[in-house]
Amino acid sequence: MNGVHDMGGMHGMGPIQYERNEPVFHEPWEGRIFALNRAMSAWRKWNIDAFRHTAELIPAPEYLRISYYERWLHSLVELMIKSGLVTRAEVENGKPASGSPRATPALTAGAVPGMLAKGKPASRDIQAVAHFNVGQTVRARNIHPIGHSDYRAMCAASLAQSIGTTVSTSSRTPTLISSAKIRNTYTRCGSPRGSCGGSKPRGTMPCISTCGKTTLSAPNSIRESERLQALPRLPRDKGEPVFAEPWQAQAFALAVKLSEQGHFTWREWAAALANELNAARIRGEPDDGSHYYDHWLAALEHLVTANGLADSATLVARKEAWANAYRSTPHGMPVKLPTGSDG
Amino acid sequence: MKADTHDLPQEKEHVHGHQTVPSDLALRVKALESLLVEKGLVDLAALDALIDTYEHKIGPRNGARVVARAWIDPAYKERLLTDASAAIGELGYTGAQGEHMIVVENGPKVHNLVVCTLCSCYPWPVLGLPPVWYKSAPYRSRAVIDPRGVLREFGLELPEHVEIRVWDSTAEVRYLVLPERPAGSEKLSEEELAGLVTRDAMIGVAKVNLPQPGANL
Repeated sequence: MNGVHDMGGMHGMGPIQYERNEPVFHEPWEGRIFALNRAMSAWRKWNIDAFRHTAELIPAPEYLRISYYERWLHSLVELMIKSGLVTRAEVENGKPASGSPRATPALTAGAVPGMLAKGKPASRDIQAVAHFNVGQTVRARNIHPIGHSDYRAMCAASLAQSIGTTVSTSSRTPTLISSAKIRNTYTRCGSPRGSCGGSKPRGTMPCISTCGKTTLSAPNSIRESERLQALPRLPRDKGEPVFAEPWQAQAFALAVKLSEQGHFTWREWAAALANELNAARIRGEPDDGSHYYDHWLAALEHLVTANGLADSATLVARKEAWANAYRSTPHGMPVKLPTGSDG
Repeated sequence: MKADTHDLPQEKEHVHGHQTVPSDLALRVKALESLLVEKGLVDLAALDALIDTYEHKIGPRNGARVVARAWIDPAYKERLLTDASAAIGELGYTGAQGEHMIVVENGPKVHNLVVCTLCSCYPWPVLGLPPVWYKSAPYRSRAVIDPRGVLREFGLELPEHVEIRVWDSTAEVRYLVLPERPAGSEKLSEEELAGLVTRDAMIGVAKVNLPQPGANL
């Protein structure tokens, strides 16, 4: 999400406040909340992504106002409630609910050194193909995922040179505690670290691109009427979809076809579209349906790239190729892509 | 102690021999801790062990030893730059928030700077917990867009021909800067060298300098 936490490149945050001989914790409660978090993480009900995302969801003015360890306090409480370890009433009363069972701590003092020395490596024994070579010029995808991601908004759509290959995690739904319990619920894939921030950056900025999973699910046999029902805001006339321009019908048909072929389920499609529509609402765009198919197209591009059907560089190149084809075709002639055009 | 939290602070002012009531935040954390202990979800001794570890055992001294070793042992430096996690592990520093390490080397033409624009990712096993400025908006926002200006704020003016590389940490990958060994340090022992290496130099906001003559080490 393009939250206030994604601060890279912002102006106006003031001078750096350097403190000489800074203590590890400024007040005892900071140490306690730090330790509580580490100890509670041993219950394995959430992972670092869920923890970070919970802080990212703090409204921006509040996020900037409160201190770092206050954010930790907030995230710990919210995650414990979400995962059912405590109830909000218990937190508010400071007492266990009467009759609630007493647990045995997941982390004992004796286990602390071992837990810290081992850590939680994110590496997985998974075969993955690097999409780019080191030194290759890449363009960061112009995406603005709503959930948690390590994608930096400052990198979106900027040109970069791949300086290495790494494997990154990603999840479209890290807020779901159940799926965030262990990191290997996330699909991993080869991705470039590029230097972003313009074609001639002075400082190089490694970006880890967010990659989705290549899902080839079984074709769904959902019927047309059910399919449309899953899209409540679809512009319709007498129950049938209506299109203001031909491209909208094309985009509509593409989504239906790709879903029928099992590249994503219709439920996934509805969720991707809902994400785009919600994002537009949050941005304050009018919710009158006038841009419905803009969001449809964005969702389609997102799913196509996230599911590995095409990468965004190819889509950009293909768009450019079509634009060139239009420019070079005389009036009245059918516009065709030149054969062998890349992408 | 627990009963105290039910008293209003202003009432307590009238009681002689009372203790100072902690801040609202301190009380909230105290209440949460006692709830979790009572529910059997956390072990008090484990909390104390965690705090003790990061206050006294894990800190920038670890990273300084890694740097000093790399300065005196070219084969170690080679391993450090190829597979940092394994090389750092050789000195016994492994684990939480440093599982996947990358070491970036400073030189006459390149200066590296580490940031976490999104949050506070930092290599705990070698540097301990990050300082407040590293986790704060001014550094996080500007390190990537005005690294030269940021370094100037730290008192480090780099010549224009020096390329600055900014490394934005992730939840998985953490960075450590291998600073340049200061000229004139040839005769120093590994331990003395480690004593020169500061946290700031390993984040990349400072260089390693020899102590000024007459200064207390």
